[in-house]
Amino acid sequence: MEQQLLTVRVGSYLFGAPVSSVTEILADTGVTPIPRTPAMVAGVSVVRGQPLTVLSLRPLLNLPPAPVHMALRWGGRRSTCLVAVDRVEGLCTPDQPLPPDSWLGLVPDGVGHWVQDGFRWGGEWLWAWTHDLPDRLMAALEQAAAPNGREKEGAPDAV
Amino acid sequence: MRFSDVVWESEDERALFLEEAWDLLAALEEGALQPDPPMDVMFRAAHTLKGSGGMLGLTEWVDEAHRLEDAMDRRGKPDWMWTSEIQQLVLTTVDALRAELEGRTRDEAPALVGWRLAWDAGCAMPGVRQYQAWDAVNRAAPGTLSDPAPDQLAEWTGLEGHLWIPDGILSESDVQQILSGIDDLADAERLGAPAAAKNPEVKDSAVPERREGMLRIGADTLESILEGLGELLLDHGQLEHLLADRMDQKIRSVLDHLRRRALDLQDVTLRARMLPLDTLFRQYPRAVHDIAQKLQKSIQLRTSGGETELDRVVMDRLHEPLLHLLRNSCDHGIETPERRRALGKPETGTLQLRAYTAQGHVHVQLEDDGGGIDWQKVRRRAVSQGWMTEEEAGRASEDQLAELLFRSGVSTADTITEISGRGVGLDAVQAFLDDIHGSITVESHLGRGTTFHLELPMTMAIMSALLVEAGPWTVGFPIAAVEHIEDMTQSLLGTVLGQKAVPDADMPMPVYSLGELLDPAEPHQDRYIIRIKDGRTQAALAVDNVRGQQEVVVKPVEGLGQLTPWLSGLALLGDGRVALMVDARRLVPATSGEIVASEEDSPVLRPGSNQMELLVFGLGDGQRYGINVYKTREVLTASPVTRVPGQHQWLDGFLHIRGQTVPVVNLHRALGLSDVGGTPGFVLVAEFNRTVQAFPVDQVDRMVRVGWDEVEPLPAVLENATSRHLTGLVDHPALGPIQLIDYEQLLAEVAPPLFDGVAESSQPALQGVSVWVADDSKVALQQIKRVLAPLALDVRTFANGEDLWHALEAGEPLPRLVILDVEMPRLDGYTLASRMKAGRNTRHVPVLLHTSLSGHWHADRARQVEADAILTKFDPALLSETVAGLILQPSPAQSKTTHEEGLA
Amino acid sequence: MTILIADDAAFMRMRLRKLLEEAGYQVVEAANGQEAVEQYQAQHPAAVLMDITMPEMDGVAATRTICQADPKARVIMVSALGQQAMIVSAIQAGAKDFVVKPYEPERVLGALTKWAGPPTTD
Repeated sequence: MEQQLLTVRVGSYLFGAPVSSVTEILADTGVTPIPRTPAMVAGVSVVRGQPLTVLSLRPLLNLPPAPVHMALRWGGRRSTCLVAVDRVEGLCTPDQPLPPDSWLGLVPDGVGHWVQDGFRWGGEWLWAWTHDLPDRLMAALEQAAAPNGREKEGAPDAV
Repeated sequence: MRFSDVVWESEDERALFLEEAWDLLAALEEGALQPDPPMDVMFRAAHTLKGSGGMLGLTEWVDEAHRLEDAMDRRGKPDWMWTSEIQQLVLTTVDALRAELEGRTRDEAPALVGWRLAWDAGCAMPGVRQYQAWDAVNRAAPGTLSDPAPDQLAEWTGLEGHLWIPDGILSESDVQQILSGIDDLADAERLGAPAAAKNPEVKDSAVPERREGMLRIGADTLESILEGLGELLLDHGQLEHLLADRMDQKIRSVLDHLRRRALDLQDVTLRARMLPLDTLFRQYPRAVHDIAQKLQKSIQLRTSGGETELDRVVMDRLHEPLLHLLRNSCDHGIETPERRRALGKPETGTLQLRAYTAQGHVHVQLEDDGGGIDWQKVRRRAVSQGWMTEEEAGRASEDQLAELLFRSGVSTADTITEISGRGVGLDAVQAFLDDIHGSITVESHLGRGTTFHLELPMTMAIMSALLVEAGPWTVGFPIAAVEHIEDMTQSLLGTVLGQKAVPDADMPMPVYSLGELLDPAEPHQDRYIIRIKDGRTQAALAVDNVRGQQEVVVKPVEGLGQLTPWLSGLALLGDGRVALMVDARRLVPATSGEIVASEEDSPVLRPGSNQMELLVFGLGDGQRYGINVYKTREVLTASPVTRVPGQHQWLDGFLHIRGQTVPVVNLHRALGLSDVGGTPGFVLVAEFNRTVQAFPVDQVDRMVRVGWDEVEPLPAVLENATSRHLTGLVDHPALGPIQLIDYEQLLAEVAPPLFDGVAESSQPALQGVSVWVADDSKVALQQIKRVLAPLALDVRTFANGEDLWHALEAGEPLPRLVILDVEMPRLDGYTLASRMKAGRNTRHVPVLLHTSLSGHWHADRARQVEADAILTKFDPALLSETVAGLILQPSPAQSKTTHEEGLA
Repeated sequence: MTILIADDAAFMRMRLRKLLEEAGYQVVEAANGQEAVEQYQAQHPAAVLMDITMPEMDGVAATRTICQADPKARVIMVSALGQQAMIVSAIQAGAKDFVVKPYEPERVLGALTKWAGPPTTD
């Protein structure tokens, strides 16, 4: 199924966000970190009066933390959040996804749960996000937090 | 003809008919549910409904109304009675007529035809197009639904939408015709066969509009007004800040006026968001009636306080949980009519729903006169689910057990009924309350009933907050929850059980560093202490800085889910920053002014285990001292004492504690320690030997469990020096040496017992009888000897239990009675008594436990080790009498056969 | 047939005027929402091309006022990308259709023809 993707950079990774899920691209919204939250929750940004959670994928990719300058707004008016990215590159509609066996080893553990397809694009790998990326991430976080009441940092192993 | 077929002369006419019909139907329903229905009103209502319907030619309508009217016609029927059949007829007819007005055929959901609309990929705003399509079709066929729903289209960017059009109004070509007028439509296709009503469901709003000649205003509109007002206040704050250097009387006065006006408007608008709880309560009597019918029980619901107002947003969400509680009470609370009869209760169970406001919260109470909660069942369930051990379950208070009820998986229903009992509902109630930062408590009496008590915040939008700084964050608390702010350097900070604490009334309140609680890795500097009181939670938080009071707009954070229950929202501040609004209840470790249990794993000391719990404290001289926990009644903050002329030199004075006059013994003087100066912050109140004393201490450390076998009696060489007031020494692995003070010695000096009432002469049978006494306190031994002297007994004393035991083992002639102190080094009295009762030779020797620990539970323990008597020190007359009694008994007590149920 | 153009940018008004007049319509202009309401009441145009963002009174409010007074008014919104929510509000307020900026001349003329009719000499 061909889908139009918005290509973005996080670290050296090239990701694709389904265009239908991204409602806005925001720059320099100012992120206030929230204490007692897992590393993946970079903090909160206030967008047009509404506080939104900002998620950073860097801990899941084993990247060091970095200030958030750009973010994609994901989702509709209800249940919306921001996903931090380093740069927005452009739009593309790749075809011929490659089977997961050929690329699962190239991404850190657990990433496979929210990456839907891998493509070769312009000489590098392009990982397409699932349309419900934030939901999956949050569900894994809440599961990790719930059983013994302590927050766990880092990559969710199971979704 | 059906109502939906009527051709109206004007929209006004239709509206008028509807309004009147709804009112009449409501009157019929309300009336039918009352114990004494107003028959005249109801009869007229049915009559009017019949007439209006007749005017429009609604044949089925008229038939229904006529049947109803007939049933309620008392003319010419002297023995007419209101029966439950008639009641049911009224309710069923009301339902049917309502269905008619809503265009539904009875019991049938409307058939909808689905259409798929595909929008051009190049369409700039598919959301608008979908909206236009829905709008156009809906005008021709009212009741058309759109997927996505119209209120979500503003943000929608999909390319495929659906319409669900009521069947029978438009033909397929009609629809195509209408849709052809919309631009950017690539394709419109009718789907398969008509389906029953699909998603999105038309939600039955639990909050109907008020129809009293007022303007209707959407909740969103109010929301934006409130937001605007909130921002107005923020702007005001900024203005104040910017004009700070140029402030003069005139500017000040305008700024103040601006702020007052904005606050007033806020108030008025917020109140517009408030609706009376009756809006919800109105529906419940009917709901309860229906549920009761299904359960074949007889239940009535009474409501009061319905005029109490609540924010409509909160009220909307309250509906489901409250309905569930009602269902729960009907199902599990109220018994069946047979059972109630057998119990002598009225056959009809009563539910009381009450609402009132108090302290900025709205309280809703649901009380039933049913069977109450069987706490034993809950206990058993808790154990079987593995949430608690049997011991913990046995000790758990009803409050603690009540908390379990709100966890999923708890249901003490034996069978899961259709209504409730899955146990999943109560946890949803809890989740709802957690979400809006409300709370629920349960009170229940077995056999009499249960009361659920909900506490809800009155409003959730704008609040007056106290802003503080902790680490890099600005944190806000609702101003109503802040009791007190103090500078740390000026406050009376002490340490209780290793935790910083400040005096609060007469109990120490632990102080927690807010910066530390939020993130220990971030640097912070505690300078001020804020005391928070929020419902049942009291806490003192140390913060870096206090910024002051501000009006803030509080918004929930989207997307955090359940990760931060302690964060009730984010407050937007004037300077563009945000403040974390903290729910102190969820951030602070469980607080209590009482002494927290020791850190050991098994908190229950078994008697005969030769162990005790020591409360370790400091007197400012670098040494640690210990006192048996069971002697300690409480720890209070130091308060002024009253000096009495002629009082003992060791006393500081006297304290009044709850009506009791308690001597305050200065341990520095008693132990001969140099006065280190400074005022001790806390006072240890101890109770033993039937008296209460207070000891000022500098520091109360913690509790440790210590085996008596670890307690060393002091070497003889030291006994003459200042350590004459110590009974022993424990070398604790973590804390180092802890000295055990001989309180009896102190007490003997400060308040010697009265030796009257003691038998003056002996009985012949007692002369020369051998009695062994073990007590580590020399003073106690002296006192006991003095009491027993007139009885002319042969008294042999031992300084501790171990020595006495060795003497028994060595085969010496057995005594006729042993008197054992409980607290002794090496081997305590309980353990020694157990051993004696277990030994073949020694078991017939009566054992008298003589203890300075008071309290009836000691009697329990004494029974457990099968002591023959237990006396609290120091009552000379009673001691003398008991000793005589035990010796003169016809046959020595054998091992008792009375079985006590233990805690297991 | 007269069409009312409401836009606070003089340049935009000039462009639209040229387009409409070449097609055969008569044009009246308004520079803000308030003027739009007044011009509508004075001139009774067959349709209105209403910009969304204007000072004094924005396009949505002006549309509401006009449509409340004249339920048969034909207002077509002109808006930029990213204003979908406001367009929906405008339609709820009574607008009939919309075109997106930068506009394609055929779209504008097509919308006018559909709602008001082909240009006639009035």
